[in-house]
Order: sequence, then structure tokens, then C-alpha cells
Amino acid sequence: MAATFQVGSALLDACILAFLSQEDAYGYILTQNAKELLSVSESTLYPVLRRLQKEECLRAYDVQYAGRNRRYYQITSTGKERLDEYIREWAEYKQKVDKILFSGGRIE
Amino acid sequence: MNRQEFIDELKARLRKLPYDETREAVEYYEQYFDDAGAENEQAVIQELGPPAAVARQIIAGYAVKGSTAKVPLRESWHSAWLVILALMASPIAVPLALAAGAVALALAISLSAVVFSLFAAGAGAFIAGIACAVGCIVIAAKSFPTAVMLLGAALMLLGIGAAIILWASALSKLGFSWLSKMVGNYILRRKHA
Repeated sequence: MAATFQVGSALLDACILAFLSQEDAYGYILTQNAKELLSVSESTLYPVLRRLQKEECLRAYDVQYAGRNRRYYQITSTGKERLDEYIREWAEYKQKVDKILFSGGRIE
Repeated sequence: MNRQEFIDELKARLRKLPYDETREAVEYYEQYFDDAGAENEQAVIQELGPPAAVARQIIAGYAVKGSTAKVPLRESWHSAWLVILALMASPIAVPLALAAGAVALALAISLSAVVFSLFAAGAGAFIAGIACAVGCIVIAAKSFPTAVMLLGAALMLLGIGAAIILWASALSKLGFSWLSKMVGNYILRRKHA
């Protein structure tokens, strides 16, 4: 995605929750996905993950990998509810913006 | 700069955070380097940017997050302090920071004044209640109806006093965490702008 439009913090929260609703993931992989699709910088993600974790939208667990710990993040039921809310709000928002961009805001 | 230097500087810049927060962040970035692989060490350091900026994001994130959950009063003071630290560390125009800081300070002072006066009112009602209770005991032998009236007044005043104090402490928690959240959001917005 081009960096024309900035990804705000709510949208970033929503995208992380959406990634994690597919499968559990660790920081590096999440960052690579987010970087590719949303063009956010590599250091943006940790504070977001930590905050979502504190808000009990995510939980972290450790897996042994190549003789060391790897911390995976998993979405919680609170996180899923939050994601549903974001999806509803996004659909509404997208519709409004589409209306303006594609038909100049005319109400037909 | 190599990986070890990056981690060491990050650790040093985060030392104002609670120990657990620092450890969590440092572990995350240690794992991040591990997952990226040794051959990408320099690329990762390039992409992450200076450790000072990484630390600033972590501190700002920590300060903001404290406000949405139920936080004990001491901790919201703590995050207010961290917000001030983040404010000082941020590369925003100094006059803007000063103006925003002055507004936040004014809000904090007025909030403290309101909370203090509520506490004083609550304590006043409480003390009056105790006085009525004492009066009730003293007068009980002489005039029974007066004693009953004083007992009623005492219970009412104690109830009102307790309600005001509870309400004031709820208000102060809410007010201060709202304030630190606003300031935190302001800093984040400036940083992303």
C-alpha cells in the first residue's frame, strides 16, 4: 500500500487484531506483515502490542524455538469483540468515504 | 552500532519505566534480532532507527495505556509523570510544548482544587455528624426527643460525608487519568504528524 494515507492508531489496532484473529504470531512476523501492507515503521508495533496486551485484547505466551524463547501473541475474546466493533465502524466509514470519492457526495 | 549497543542504549533510555516494562521491551527487541537473523542485524538497526526514538515510542505508549483500564490513583500520577518525561524527550517545538504543558498544568491544578474542596466538604459533614452523635449521647438522659433528632441528624451527616468523599475520590481518579490520556494522545499525534 502506498503511504499516501496515514494509518491512525485505531486502524493499526484493528489490523493487528485482524492478523491475530487468523493465527497466533510473534513480533517479527507481525511487523513484517504490518510493514508490507500498511507501511508503518518497524518500531511502531511494540507499543501497540503492549497496549493491546494491557487492555486484555491479546495474551502472550512463550514457545521454545531453536533453544530460545519466542513470544507469541494470541487474540482474546475481548480482542475479538473489539475487532468486530472496528469492522462495523470501518464498513460504515468506508461507505461514507466511497460515496464522496466515487460520486462526489451526491445523495441519490 | 551493533545489536548489543542498540540493546544497551535502549535499556538505558527505558530505565525510568517500571522494571517489568523495561524487561518486556528489551526481551521483545532481543527476540526481534534473533528472528531477523544475524545476517540482517545491520538492516534491522537501520529500520528501527535510533534507540532513543524507539524508547520514546515505548514510553509514550506506556503513558497512554495506563488511562483506559481501571488504574489506582498512584499509578495515574505515575503515568502523568511519564507523560511529562515523554513530552521533554519529544522533538516537538518548545513553545508548543510549553503552551500544552501550561494548559495541562492549569487543568491539573483546577481539578486538584475541586477534588480538595469536595474532600473538605465531605470531612466537614463527617465531623458535624460525629458532633451530633456526641450531642445525642450527652442529651439522651435529659430530653429523649432531642436525642432522637440528633441521632437522625448524625446518621444523615455521616452518610452525606461518606458519599461526598467516595464521589470525590472517584472523580479524582477519573479526572487525572482522563488528563494524562489527553496529554499522551496529544504527544502521540504530534509525533506522528
